[in-house]
Amino acid sequence: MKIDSGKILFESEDDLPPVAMSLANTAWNQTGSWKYLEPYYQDLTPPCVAGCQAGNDIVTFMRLIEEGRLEEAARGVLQNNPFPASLGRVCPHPCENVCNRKEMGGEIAIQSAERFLGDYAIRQGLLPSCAPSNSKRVIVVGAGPAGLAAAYFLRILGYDVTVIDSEDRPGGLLWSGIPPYRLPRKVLEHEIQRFHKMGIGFEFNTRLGEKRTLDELRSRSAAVVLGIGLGRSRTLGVPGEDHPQVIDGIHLLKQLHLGKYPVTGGRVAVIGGGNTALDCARSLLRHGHDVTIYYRRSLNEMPAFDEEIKEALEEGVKIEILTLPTRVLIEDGKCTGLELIRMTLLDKDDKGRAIPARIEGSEFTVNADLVVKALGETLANDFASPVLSEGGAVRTAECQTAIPEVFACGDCLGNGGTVAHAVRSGREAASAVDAFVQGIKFHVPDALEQRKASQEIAEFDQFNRNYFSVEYRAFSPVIRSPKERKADFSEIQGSLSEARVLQEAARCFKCGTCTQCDNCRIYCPDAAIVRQNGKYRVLDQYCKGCMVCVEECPRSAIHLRKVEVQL
Amino acid sequence: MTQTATISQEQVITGNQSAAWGAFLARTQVVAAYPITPQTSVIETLAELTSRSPGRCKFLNVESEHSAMAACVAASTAGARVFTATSSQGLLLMHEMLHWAGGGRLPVVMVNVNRATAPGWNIWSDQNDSLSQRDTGWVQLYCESAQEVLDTVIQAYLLAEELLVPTMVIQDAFVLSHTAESVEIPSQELVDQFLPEQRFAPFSLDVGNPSAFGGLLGMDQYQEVRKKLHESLRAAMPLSARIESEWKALTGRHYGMLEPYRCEDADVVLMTMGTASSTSREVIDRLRNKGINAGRIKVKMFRPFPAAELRDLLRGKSKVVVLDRNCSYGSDGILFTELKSALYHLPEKEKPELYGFIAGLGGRDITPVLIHSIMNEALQNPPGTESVWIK
Amino acid sequence: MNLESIEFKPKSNYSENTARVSDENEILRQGHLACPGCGVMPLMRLLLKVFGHQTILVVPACCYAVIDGPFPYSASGVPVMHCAFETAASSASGIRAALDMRGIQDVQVVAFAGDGGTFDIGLQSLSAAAERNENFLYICYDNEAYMNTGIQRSSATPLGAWTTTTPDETPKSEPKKNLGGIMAAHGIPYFATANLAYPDDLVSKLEKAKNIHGFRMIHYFCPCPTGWKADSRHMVKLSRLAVQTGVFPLYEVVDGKKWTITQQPKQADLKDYFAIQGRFKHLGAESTSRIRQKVEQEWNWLIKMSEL
Repeated sequence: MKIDSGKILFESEDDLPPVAMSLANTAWNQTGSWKYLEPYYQDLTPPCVAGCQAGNDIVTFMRLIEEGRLEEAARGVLQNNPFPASLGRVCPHPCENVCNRKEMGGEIAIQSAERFLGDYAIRQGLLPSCAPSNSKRVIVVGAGPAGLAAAYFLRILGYDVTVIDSEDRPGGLLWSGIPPYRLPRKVLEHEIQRFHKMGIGFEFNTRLGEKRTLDELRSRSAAVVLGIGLGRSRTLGVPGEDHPQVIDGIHLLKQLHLGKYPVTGGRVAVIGGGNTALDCARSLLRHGHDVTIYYRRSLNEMPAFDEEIKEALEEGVKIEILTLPTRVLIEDGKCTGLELIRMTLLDKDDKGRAIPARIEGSEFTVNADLVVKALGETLANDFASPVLSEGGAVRTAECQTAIPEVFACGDCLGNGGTVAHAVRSGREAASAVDAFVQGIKFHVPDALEQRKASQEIAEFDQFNRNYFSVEYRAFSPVIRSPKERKADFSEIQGSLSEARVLQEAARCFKCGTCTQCDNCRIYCPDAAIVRQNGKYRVLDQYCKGCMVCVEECPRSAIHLRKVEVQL
Repeated sequence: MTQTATISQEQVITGNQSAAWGAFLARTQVVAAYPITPQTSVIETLAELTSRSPGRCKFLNVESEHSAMAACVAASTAGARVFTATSSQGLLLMHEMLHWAGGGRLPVVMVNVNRATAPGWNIWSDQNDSLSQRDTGWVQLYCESAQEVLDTVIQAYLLAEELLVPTMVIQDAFVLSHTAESVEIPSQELVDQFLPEQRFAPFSLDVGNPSAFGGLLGMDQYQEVRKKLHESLRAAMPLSARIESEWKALTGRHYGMLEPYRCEDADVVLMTMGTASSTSREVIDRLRNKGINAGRIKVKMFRPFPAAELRDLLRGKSKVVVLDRNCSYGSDGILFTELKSALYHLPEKEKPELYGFIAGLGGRDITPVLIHSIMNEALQNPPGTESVWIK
Repeated sequence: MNLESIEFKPKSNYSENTARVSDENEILRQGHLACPGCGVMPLMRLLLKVFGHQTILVVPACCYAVIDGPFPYSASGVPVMHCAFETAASSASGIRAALDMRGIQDVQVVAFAGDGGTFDIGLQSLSAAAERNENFLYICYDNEAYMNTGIQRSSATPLGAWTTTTPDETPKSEPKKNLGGIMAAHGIPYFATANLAYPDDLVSKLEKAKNIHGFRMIHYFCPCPTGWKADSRHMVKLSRLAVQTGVFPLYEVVDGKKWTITQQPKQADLKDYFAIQGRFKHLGAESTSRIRQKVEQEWNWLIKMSEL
């Protein structure tokens, strides 16, 4: 009797046992040849990660939180995001808007979890882990969120970084724009502290072009990153606009935050529908003004965050939609109000936004003692050079401008507008600098590349819902009523407790991510799924392609593909 | 009933009681049985014997003979020494499982009390029940006395366990099963000396060396595996000679798988199986007294069929007379048919004339008068090609 | 921080106990001959993990007899006795007797039979072994027809089902035989129904059965994509719907007296269960509603039993 790879060969009758009995097992029988479709494990991108402008690996953080590994989660967040405590308060959370859990009890309170980890990192004094210095210097122009982010990631990569800014403190719009009731000063201060502790240097009161030139900076560094923001507010283009009581919204906010309250009182008209408009309106409300926002499209089209609009209305801000100023009314040298025209909405433009059109002859007037313009910004004149910019924004290819060694990130690229975007943009610029300096190809890994997830998004209709039950979301306690809120600039929303955050993390589906729930392994009729080195593996030589594993995967972490026929 | 003793003891007991004693002395470990007339006193006696020796044997009162043999087959596969007994309808019901015991090479020992098969109900002796099982791969041993039954049951274990072939010990209903005679019951010590503890590995269920028994056996190997059963059965004749001589040394008793009586110079030889063998001895003597060279061969071992040995014994005899207490319907008496095919291989001039007689079906008595008449029939008339049915 | 190298604890859907059991080394070997999506195999895997190597399987004619592999191979990894069709219970009795006589007390005997070999041809020996309170576990994996011989009807075939011997024009006209009622009437120490889609329930029943002395029985709902003309990928879905529609109740009976329902059905509609099986596709609304009535009747009976 011979045994050849587990198969038995009887060479003569004498080899045969006298009864029908087994002499070996069936492991030699590669039943994998039966299938034409084979399963394979591939983590997908959860919709929250795809939606996250900052590119956080949300699911990994949820899994860490769920296991109570808060420090690891916080460190993980920090490695990817310089402002978790801030973003945990100010981000419009596009992640939550696409969360698959909303079908079964409400989207996960991802932002609250981020906030929780950010606050935790502050309490514990955590820092990201940085590579040792490579002695190469990078100068970042602009200490706003994008510039800071670029500095942060460059420091992590091992560069020596100096950030210069025309203001006397870092933060940019984080302190001068966003009001404290959204982002408390203390929180921001703590997050800024981290930069100092990381050894990032700052030079304040230094404006590019005055004290320093771009050429000079280039000569003293391996690269320069421009995080200069936009800086030039748009104008109404109507008569009376240059009156002193018609002021720029961004400028107004900065004055308010500096404690210089320039406004004299009375009724205020705020023009615009973005976050700046809302910030101005709500801040002025808190200073006792009667505020009305005038916006040329409808509520649906207002670019401000939905929560902002909701809270503003609760607090008593009035919003008049489909209105556009035509004239500032001035009497006896004082601004008394505005003339506006009513608008209607036509079909959508190529960005998908409805086109507003004037209704001829529908002009009307309103009273106002102060008019605030919050119409958006374009690139400041200082930087509007044909080399650097085009169409009101800095022109880049893979973050690099037309000037060698000069890179750019953030709002100045023209397509930003949020802190999350600034973080991602800063990270990309840092990678671009690194590639440039090292002479390698520029590549920004996407959020999940490190753990080899594919870019395909995990869709809820591919899930097996039988393994989930409806569990309701823990809402962040809104700690103050609208009446209380109007009274001052204290923070409006509270944090979730650790217990609630853990609950949310447990409620998270972990879309597209194998959590070793054991369905595939238990149900496989052929024992063709094994756990090896903490991962599942399909034993292709035995898998018969019954597809039960794919059918029963609760969260779309295992898929099917055609078997490649070996000829 | 007495307990086993350290010395042999004489008792007046029936064939059935002897069978029970044989199984008990052989230290059978598992009995699974179902009652049927005229087997009942086998299992009743055995139940009594084993209940007086707690822990000695596990008695399964199963719900049918099919289950009885299934349980015995399974218990044997799990390494225990097993025993059961049945008759007629019960044996027929077991048929599927008899094949299983044979093909499974399991040393099951069973006592069958030859009883006619229904319909209509008939509880008396004929051999169709056991003979219709002749293809199942069992050794078949036909006994003529209670002593022989007891001795043969014990010997059957040795035979079965060495060959790994199941063995059936057969006795006639009532005439033997319920007839008492003086029987020497050997001592336990003697039997222990004769019969070793069961050897059963390597073909048993063993968690230390797991195997699957009885699974799919395909056309590439089935025939060769079954051939081994056939070859082992063929070895039963020479092995039984050894076994019998060992038994003779211990007890002084010897039977022989074929027992010739006054055959050496016989012209006409009678062939019988079962109790007719005893009855016929008297008839042979009477014929001899009348000057007829008559002899008789008792066939004890019907399976494996001792063809070569019978050829040797019957070579050159003028007439052979077969008495079948059975019929393979549509063919002929079974012993007659098998003998005929064995004798086919004798050269023409050495081939005796062959006469077949069917009698005693349904338990009708086989008397000396009947035997005398068939011998006369054979002496006076030429042989036919078929058996004659005698009343 | 390298996100690829972060290790997480497995987050099993099931109880710690089930997770622990399923983590045990695999005793069954791959390479067996079951159809893709065969509902019997996950049961066998779990059974062997719960019972371990000290187990002897008794397998009559049924799918598993072929699945285990042809001569000279066996996938089971424990000793197996293949036995005649109707003899699962009598063979198991014989093996147990032999083991007891040989003083081997730490080996369990498990009879593993299909519905044909249990409900029909094997019912006699099953009843007898139960009546004698033989000490072994009898598992009936019920795929609701004689699948191994090509999908013929058994008394376990449900009302209305197509089989080769109850074709579409004359589908099964009798309801499924009430095995639980029969076995409870025997007063056996433990009877339970079990289902793959409820692994915690299944594992706990296997463990309970392991630790009881005497006759124990588990009636397992075994989806057969091949015989039910269903997609192999629906193996678990079929099991789940069978419980959720009330077609296959999950319950236990102790000593023939104490009935406990171990899973309440959700409100799943029979139509959804039938829709994924070709063997029911000929059923019209009237037949479906008659079947629904029968399911309800049987549930009402079961509820009454559990209230005794």
